[in-house]
Amino acid sequence: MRRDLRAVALGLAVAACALIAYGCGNSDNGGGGGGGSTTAANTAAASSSGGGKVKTAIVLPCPRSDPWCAQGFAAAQQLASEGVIQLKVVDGAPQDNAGVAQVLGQLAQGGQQLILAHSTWQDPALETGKKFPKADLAFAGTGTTSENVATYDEPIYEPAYLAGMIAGGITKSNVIGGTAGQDVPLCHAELVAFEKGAKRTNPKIKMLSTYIGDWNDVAKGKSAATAQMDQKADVLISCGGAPANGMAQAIKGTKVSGFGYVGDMSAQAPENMAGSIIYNLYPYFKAMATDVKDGKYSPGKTYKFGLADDGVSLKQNPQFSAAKIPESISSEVEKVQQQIKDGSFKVPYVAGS
Amino acid sequence: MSTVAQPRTFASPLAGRHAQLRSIGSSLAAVILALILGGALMAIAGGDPISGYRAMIDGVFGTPYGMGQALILAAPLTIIGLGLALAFKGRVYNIGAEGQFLMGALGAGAVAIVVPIHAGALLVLLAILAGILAGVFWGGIVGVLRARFGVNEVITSLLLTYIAGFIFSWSIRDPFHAPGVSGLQGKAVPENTIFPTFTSLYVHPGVFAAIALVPIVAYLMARTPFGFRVRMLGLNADAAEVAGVPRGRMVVWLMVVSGGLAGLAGAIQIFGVADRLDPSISAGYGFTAIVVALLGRLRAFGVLLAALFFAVLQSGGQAMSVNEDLPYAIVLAIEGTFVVFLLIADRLARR
Amino acid sequence: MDWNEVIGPAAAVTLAGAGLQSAMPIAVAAVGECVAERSGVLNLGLEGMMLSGAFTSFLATYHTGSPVVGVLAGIGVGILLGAVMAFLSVTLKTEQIINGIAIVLFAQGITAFLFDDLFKGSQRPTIERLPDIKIPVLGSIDRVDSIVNQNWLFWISLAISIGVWLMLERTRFGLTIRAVGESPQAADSVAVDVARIRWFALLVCGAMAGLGGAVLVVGQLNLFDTNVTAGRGWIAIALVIFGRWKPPIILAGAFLFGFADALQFRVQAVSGGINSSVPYEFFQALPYLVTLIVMVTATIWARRDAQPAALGIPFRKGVGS
Repeated sequence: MRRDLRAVALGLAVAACALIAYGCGNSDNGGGGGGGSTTAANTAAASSSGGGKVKTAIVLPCPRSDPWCAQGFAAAQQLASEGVIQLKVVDGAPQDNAGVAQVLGQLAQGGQQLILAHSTWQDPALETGKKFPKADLAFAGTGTTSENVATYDEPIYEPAYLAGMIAGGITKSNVIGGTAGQDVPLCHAELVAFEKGAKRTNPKIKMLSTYIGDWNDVAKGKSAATAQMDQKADVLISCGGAPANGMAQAIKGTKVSGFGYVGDMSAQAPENMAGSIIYNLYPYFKAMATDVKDGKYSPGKTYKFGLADDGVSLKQNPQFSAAKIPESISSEVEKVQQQIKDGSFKVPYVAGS
Repeated sequence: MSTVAQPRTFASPLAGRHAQLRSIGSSLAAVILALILGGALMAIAGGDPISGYRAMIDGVFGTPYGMGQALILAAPLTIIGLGLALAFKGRVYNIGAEGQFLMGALGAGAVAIVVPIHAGALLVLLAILAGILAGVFWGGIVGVLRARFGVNEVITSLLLTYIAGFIFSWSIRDPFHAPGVSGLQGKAVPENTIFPTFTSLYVHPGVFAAIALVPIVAYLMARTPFGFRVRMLGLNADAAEVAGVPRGRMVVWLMVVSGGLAGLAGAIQIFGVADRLDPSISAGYGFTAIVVALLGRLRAFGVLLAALFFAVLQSGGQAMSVNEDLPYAIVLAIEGTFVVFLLIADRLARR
Repeated sequence: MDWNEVIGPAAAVTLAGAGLQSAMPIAVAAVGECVAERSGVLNLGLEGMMLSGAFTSFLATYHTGSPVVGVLAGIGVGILLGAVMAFLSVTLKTEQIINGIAIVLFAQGITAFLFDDLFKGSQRPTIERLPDIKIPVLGSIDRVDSIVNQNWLFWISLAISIGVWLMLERTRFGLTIRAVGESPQAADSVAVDVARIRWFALLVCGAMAGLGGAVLVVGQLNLFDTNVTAGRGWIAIALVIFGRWKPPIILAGAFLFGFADALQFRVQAVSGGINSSVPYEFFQALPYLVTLIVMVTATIWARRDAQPAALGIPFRKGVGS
């Protein structure tokens, strides 16, 4: 018992020393107490002299080499280099919503005008929006918006339809496959569009779909893709970072073709990737930054830029043997792409039961 | 974890005083070493150690809101930790608290969403009860398997945690999916069931519940026949059985109590923090609580202190990573370092 | 639902191949953990050691172009972390469970940080795939080749696992390790250096965990991602208990798990995938359910507790535990 008391006393002593050192060390800041508010005051003062640039922070949930985060970062970076925004990047967010809310709160408190929560962080964004009505936030994926919280959609099902058309044209086994982390509406719509597109060019195709249950386990993604290949699928697509990367590794060096997800993944398997369905965040972030600057952000909208506005696209891989894609398919895809762009054809959106 | 009797050393009083000073000195050295290593990690990540630590302390103690956030984080750790402390004391190694937590959250959320009662307070109480029962059930399975069939509870509780995760995942994808959301998100619970926040710290009632449980569990462990039997079981299970302690039943009780407490923590998270069935309702609280229970030396107040320590470390770390432009990953590494050195310091102080 | 597609003879063979792949990293780490636990140390840092081995082997292979260097680097880092665990748990005698979890936290943080920091610019860095070794006769048969034509890393880790198993169960040295885990006092009384044996066991455990990580990344995935091991270390620890601390059963358990894991993907697709009436989470849970059920049935059948008596308790000379 005495030993425990000693340990506790030691702990308190350390804590006391730490607080004293902290208090002493703070004297150059003009007195301790409320360090948080000092920082806020400092940066708030700084934000008004931004020179017309919108003070923007982007919170990334994954490493920058992951396509999702790479695309978000690239778009933000481009806006920064154009002088539209002043960018702060927060790498690697905590796992739980409470932690994310804290991060967003810190950013808002630090004077950020536009906070891009680049993941499906609806609740933390809304919560932070309520606490900091002066800041503007946005999160990815559809959901509830509020006065100062917007969301940005990912109509990736549109280019998925085009990818499906190509798949129908190049498959030799008439079996194609799609893997996803989970059957959420986003992925459901993507896989259904892929299937419908394939059926349009090849009514005989059969589509396999598998869910790995984890958005982060690449090994499982590869396992799932391999399983589909064993079941004769020879064109694959995926939804989610780990499924996509696993798929790319699974098809490399085989006769199976595939499509990358969100970013251009052709480099991972140049011979096998027919292309990638791209999510381009530049128009989204630009629209948001402009709205903040013009004071038109409220009420928060659901930003959606489809194929027509270059928010999403199908990027074909020039290295993928052109001979593999029949000319008739290529021109058909061109035609449909044009139809989607001018609005005469709408890709069916099936979100699932 | 073993309570080892130290051999008596007969030495002069002055030598005793020296020994005390030496042990305090060496544990202080361990703490300082921890701070230095943590600072080195910050420097490697491109930050400044001094301002990094300052940001950590600021993030938690600088504003009432920050303090409240730390308390909110400490609440589930405390509640689950209390249950685990009890179980571990009786040598029942419940590694599946995470799964019991999820089932508790699911049970509470489901009841709140489905049951057509309009009185908020009543609905919440019912839902929390459901959450506790869900945790009781999930933990009870493990207990029965061990008591009745002798199956190792470490592996069963761990495997059941994965299974609980899948059940939870399915329910927010299908029956309780939030309408109109393109990602994985569950339905929100009714407005009138969400916990209000109190004081300028913005804490919810769950925090008070956690603190209130501490003396209750302490009393349970130290002053009741149940607690006595738990301790006997932990010291020497065979001797305890000879002395009349119903081993099998105690194992089930311990799993049920720790499971129920984990379920309670899950239910509280739903109404206090998440406000809906959400995939990220837990940041591994069930596993962190194991460390908390052990750091707290399986004692109720120790668990509270350890939970607070962790919460401050985690909260402060998050604040630091944002304000100092450091990637959040380095916070995990710093946490690991601190935990290790805290252990070393504790060991040295006790010698 | 066409079951023939899933477990018909042709499918079963490719399934076995996939199961082997899935099982190998876990199996290697599990055998290493078995050595540590048999010596009496509960090493919960396995997941961190695997992850660090995975990251280091990826980093080394990426920069040197040589998978051999990569694998050795991965093993080296595993040994390093094993030494840390040994220092904390055996020398300083602090709480083993916490040491292990702290190591996992640390490893997760450091690997995530270093990966993002060192590879910031590049688009998803990858390394070369290891060529499969073609086995003379069996390797030419159409489906069987997916089982037997594995790369050298697979064969080496299999050999090492079997070697360690034999060392543990058949040699005098292995007997010493086991004795230390059952009754360190008795071992100490016959002049066995308990601390030294436990140190060795942890170094071996760390090495094998690092190797397991390397197998996953260099041998199978050819890329790294934060948390690429995704909890395989914890499964490995569970498998040690499942295998009653005997390597052959552990290996069988790893294969059972890997097989079930590979199977569930096929079952998902066949049952309709996106249109399936059975929620796919059920299939995803299958490997864990299967392991659980087998574990329960086996325990009831065997009716014995096989856990090393001194597992998790630090050894103090001259004092009864």
